[in-house]
Amino acid sequence: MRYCQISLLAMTLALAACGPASPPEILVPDTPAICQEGPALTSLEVSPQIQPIAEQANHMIDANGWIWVLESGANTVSRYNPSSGVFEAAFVDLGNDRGPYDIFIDGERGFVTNYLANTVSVFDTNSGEVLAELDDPRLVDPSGIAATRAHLYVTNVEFLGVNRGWGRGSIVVIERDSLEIVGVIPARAKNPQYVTVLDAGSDSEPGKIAIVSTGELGQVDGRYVQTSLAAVEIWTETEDPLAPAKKVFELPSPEPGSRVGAPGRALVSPDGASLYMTSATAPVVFSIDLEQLVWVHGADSPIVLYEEDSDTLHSGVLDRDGLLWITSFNQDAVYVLDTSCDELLAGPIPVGIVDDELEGPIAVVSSSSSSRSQQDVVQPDVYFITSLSKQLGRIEGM
Amino acid sequence: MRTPPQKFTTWVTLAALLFFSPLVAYGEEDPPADGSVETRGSAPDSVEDARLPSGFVTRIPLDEVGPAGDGLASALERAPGVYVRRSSSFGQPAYIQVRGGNPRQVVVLLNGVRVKVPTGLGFDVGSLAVSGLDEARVYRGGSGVIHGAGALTGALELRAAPTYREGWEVRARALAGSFGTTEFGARAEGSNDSGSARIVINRRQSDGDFMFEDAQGVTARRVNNGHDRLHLLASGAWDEGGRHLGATLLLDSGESGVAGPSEFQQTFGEAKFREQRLIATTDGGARGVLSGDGWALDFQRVFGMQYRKQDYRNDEAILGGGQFETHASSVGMDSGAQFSLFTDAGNFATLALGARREVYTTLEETDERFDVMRRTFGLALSDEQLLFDDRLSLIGVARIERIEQDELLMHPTTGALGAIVRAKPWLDLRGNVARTWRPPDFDELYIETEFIRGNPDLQPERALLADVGVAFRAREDLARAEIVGFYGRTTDQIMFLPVSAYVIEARNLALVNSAGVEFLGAFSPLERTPLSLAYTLTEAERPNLPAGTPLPNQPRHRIEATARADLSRLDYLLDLPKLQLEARASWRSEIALDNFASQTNPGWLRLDVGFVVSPKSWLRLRADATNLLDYRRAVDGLQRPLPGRAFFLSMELVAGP
Repeated sequence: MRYCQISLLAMTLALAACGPASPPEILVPDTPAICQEGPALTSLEVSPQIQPIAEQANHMIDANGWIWVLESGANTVSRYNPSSGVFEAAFVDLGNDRGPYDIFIDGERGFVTNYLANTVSVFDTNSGEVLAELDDPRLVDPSGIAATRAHLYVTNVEFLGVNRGWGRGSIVVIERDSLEIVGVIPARAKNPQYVTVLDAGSDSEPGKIAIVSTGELGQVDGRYVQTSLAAVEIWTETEDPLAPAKKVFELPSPEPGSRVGAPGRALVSPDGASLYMTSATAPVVFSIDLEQLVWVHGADSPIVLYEEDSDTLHSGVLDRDGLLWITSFNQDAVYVLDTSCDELLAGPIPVGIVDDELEGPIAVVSSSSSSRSQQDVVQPDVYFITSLSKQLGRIEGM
Repeated sequence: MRTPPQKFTTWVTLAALLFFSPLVAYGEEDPPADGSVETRGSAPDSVEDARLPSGFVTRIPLDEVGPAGDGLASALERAPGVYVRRSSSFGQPAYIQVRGGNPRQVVVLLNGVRVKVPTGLGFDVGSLAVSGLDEARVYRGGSGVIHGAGALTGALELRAAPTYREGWEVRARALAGSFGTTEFGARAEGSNDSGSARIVINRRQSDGDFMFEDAQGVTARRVNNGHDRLHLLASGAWDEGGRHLGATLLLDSGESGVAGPSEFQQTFGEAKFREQRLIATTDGGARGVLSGDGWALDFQRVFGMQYRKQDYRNDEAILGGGQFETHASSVGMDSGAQFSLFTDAGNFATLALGARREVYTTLEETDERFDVMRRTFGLALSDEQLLFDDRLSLIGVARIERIEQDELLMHPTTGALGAIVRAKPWLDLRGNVARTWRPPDFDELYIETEFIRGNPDLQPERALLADVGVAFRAREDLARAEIVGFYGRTTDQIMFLPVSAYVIEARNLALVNSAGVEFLGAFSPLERTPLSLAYTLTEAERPNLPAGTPLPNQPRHRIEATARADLSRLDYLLDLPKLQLEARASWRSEIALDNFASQTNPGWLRLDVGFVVSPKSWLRLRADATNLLDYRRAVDGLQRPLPGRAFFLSMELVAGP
C-alpha cells in the first residue's frame, strides 16, 4: 500500500504519480491426485481480475470458441475469446427491463431467457444482433433454457413475490426450428430454474434433458433453506412433445436444522453416466447415477465440500477430465471435486482480492484448452465470473 | 424493538428555558450593529467560525444561485472539497459528500439546528427548494468538529436570515422549462429599524422525462421521474440593544417518482415517494451579558424541532411483482447554549452545551412497527489564544458527548487543534488536526428487510483529519485565493455490503484514506466581470484494495468555473436596471460505480449559460441553458441517468417602495 503524503505542493506531484497497480495474482502449488483413477493438478495461477464485466453477471458458458457472459444487471451478453484474449463488451444488447437469466448457444443462434420481461431473446452468435424476441403469455418468469435436436425447453419459475412465494412452475416446449410454442408441461416441484441437455438426440433418436426444480426458498432461523419439495426430472422425448417419458428424483424439504437441499444446475459427467448438482443453500454436492437411475449422493448422503453454518451458494462446471469446478460465492473461493471417486481434490482456492468484502464468484467454465498429460496431470484453463466485483477471472495451470 | 418509556419533562423544561430566555441573540456571527446591509459577493468565499477559526469553511450566497431551476445542489457544487451526488434532474434527490467521505458523514443544520435525520443515504439537498434561504456554509474536514458527533468529514449549515433592509418588498415569480418543469413562487418581506420578517411560498413540479443514452448507447426517455413539491418558509429576526432573536419555520411537502436504473425503468415505473418535512428553529442571544474590566461574556442559544414523514410505495416491485411499501417518520428536538468569553489578553473561549433527542419510527409492509430513540448530550470547549500581536492564533477544541440509544451508550470524544499565522495583512496560513466520530445511523443498526439487514454490533466511525492551507486576499477584494491540502484516515467506516448471495448487511470496513488539494479563487480582471474557480483533487481509497482503486462516486478531479458580466446601468446598453450574463463550466473526472471500480462512468463537462435582464425596475427576466453540450451519458452511482440540455425561462415581478 502506498500513501500519498500531504504537503501542499509535493502532494500534487505525489498524487499524480499514484498510478494503477497490476492486478493481483494468487499461486497454488501442485495438487496430487486424490482418487486412484483420477488426475493430479498442476500448480495453478489465479488471476482474479483479467477483465471487468457488467452489472450482476449471473451465468457463463463456453461455446463456439467463446466464453459467453450473461450480465443480468446490464441486460447484455458479453463474450471473451480465450485464445485471443479479445473481450467484446455488451456483444448482445437485449434491451432494457429484460433481466436475463440463462443462455443457450445453438450454433449460429443464441437464446436468452428474460426473467423480468417474460420473453426469450434469439440472437445471432456472429453479429450479436437480436433476431427475435419470443413474447407469449405462457412464458412466466422464464429461467432455464436448453435445446435438443427437436425442441427448445424453457423453465418458468413463476415467482409471485417475496410474500407470496412461488407458483407451481412449468416447462414451455418450443419447436426448435420454427420457434412456435408447442405447449406447457407442469414441473414436478416448484421453482424449476434449470434445464440441461443430456442427449440432444437426432432425427431418429429422442433427445433427453434434465430439469432441476430447486424448490421454494425461504428464511428459517435467519438462514435460507429449501422449504418445499425439490426435484430432478429426467425427460426422454417421445412422439408427443408434451408427453415425455419422465423419471423423477425428489429431494424433500430438509429436516429442521439442516440446509441440505436446493439443488442447482445439472452437470453431466464426461461419460454421460452421472449427473451432479451443487446446492444453493449448503456446501454439498448431489449426484445421480444415470445408468442405474438412482441417487448416489442424495439429500441423506451428499458430498460435503466444507463445513459452514451460514448461507452458501455454489455453481459448477464439469470439465472433460471429470473434475467438477465449484464456485463458493460466500467464500470467494473455488473447489475442485474429482468425480472419479467423488473426493475433494483441491480447495478452497481463493479467487478474491480483498478480505473484508465479498466478491461473489457465481459461475465457472472450463475452457477447451484445458489439457491432461499422459502422466494424468491436468493443466486446467478455467474461467470464472464474480457478480459483486464484476470481474472475469482465470485459473490457469502452470 | 419497542421504544422505552419516553420522558419529555427534561426536554420540555430545557426547551422552555432556552426558548423564553430573555437573553436573545442571533447566530454565532453578529449582524452589523448599525443595521446596514451586508454586501456579499456572489462567489463562494471563506468564512471563519469563531469556535474553530482555523477551520476551512466556505460560504456560498444563495440569493443569486444559478442557473435557475437547479437549486441548492448546483450552489453547493461551487464549493471546493464538495461533490454532489445527483440522482436525476431538477428537484430529485441529491446528496453532498466532503473530501472523499460519504453523505452520511456530513451533518446538516438549519440556522444552527441539526436537521439531518440519522438514517438513510444522507440529507437530500436536491429536493429542498432554495427559496428563502440566504446562505450555505460548508464546513470541510475537521472544521465540522464543532457540530459534534456525526460530522465525520464535514458539515453543511443552511441559513435563512432576513437581512436588515428598511421597507417592504413583494416578489412573484414564474418559471417554465424543459422536461415539463414549472415553478411558481411569491415572497414578501419587510423590515424596520429593529426587525425584519420574510415569508416565501413556492410550488414546483417537473415531469423529468428527459432523453438519455444508456450504457449501450441506446437512447431512451426517463420514466417516472417527476415531482411536485410545495415549499413554505417564514423567518423573522429582531435585533435591539445588543439582543437578538431569530425564528424560522420551514414546511416542505411533495411527491416524486422514484425512477429506477436506466436498464430497469419499467420495474420502477410506479414507484412513488412522498415526503413531508416541518422544521422550526429559533436562535438568539445577547452581547455583553456579563462584563468586567478587560472581559466580556456573550450568550447565544438555538432551539429547533422537526418532523419528517416519508412513504415509499411500488405497486409492481422487482422480483416477481407484488406491492412493496414502507413508511417512516422522525421527530427531533435540538437545543444548544453557548457562552463566549473575550478577554483583553487576546483570549477567546467558548463553552457550548447541547442536547438533542431523535425518534425514528418505521412501519414496514408487514405492519411491523419499529421505534428507536436517541438522546445526545454534549459539552464543548474551544479556546483561541492570540499571540505575537495577533499574528499567531492557537486554537483548541474539545468536545465530549453522551449518546443514549436503547441499550447502547456511547461517549464520543472529539476535538481539534488549529493554528493561524497571519503572515501579512493579505496572507494567512492555517492548519488543523482533528478527531471526528460518527455513531451508526438507525438503519445501519436495525434495518430488517428480506435482503437488507442492519447490524447492532457496528462500531462507530472514527476519523483523523488534517489540513493545511494558505489564503491570499488582494486589496479591495479584487482577487482572493485559497489553497488547502487535506488528509483523512477513517477507521471502521460503515457500508452496506453483501455478506452472502442473499443478504446485504451493514459492516465496518477497516480503513479508508483520503487526501487531496482544494483551490478556491476569485478575481475580477475587469470591473464588472468577476470570475471564480474551484478545483478539488481527491484521492480516496481503501488500502486493502489494489492501489489506484478509487472509492465509488468520488471523482479524482473536479473543476467549477464561473464567469459573470454585469452590464447593468450602461448607457450604451439601454441603461437597464439589471443586465447580467453568466457562464459556468463544471467538470468532473471519471467516477467508479462500484466498490471495486470495475464499472465506471466517464468524466463529463457541463456548460451552463444564463442571463438576467430587468427592463424595468419592477420586472426581471431570466433565461438559462444547462448542459449546453447535451451530454447524455452521465449517470449516478446507481446507474440513474442525468439530464441532457435544458432550457429555463423565468419572470419575476417586484413591488415595493
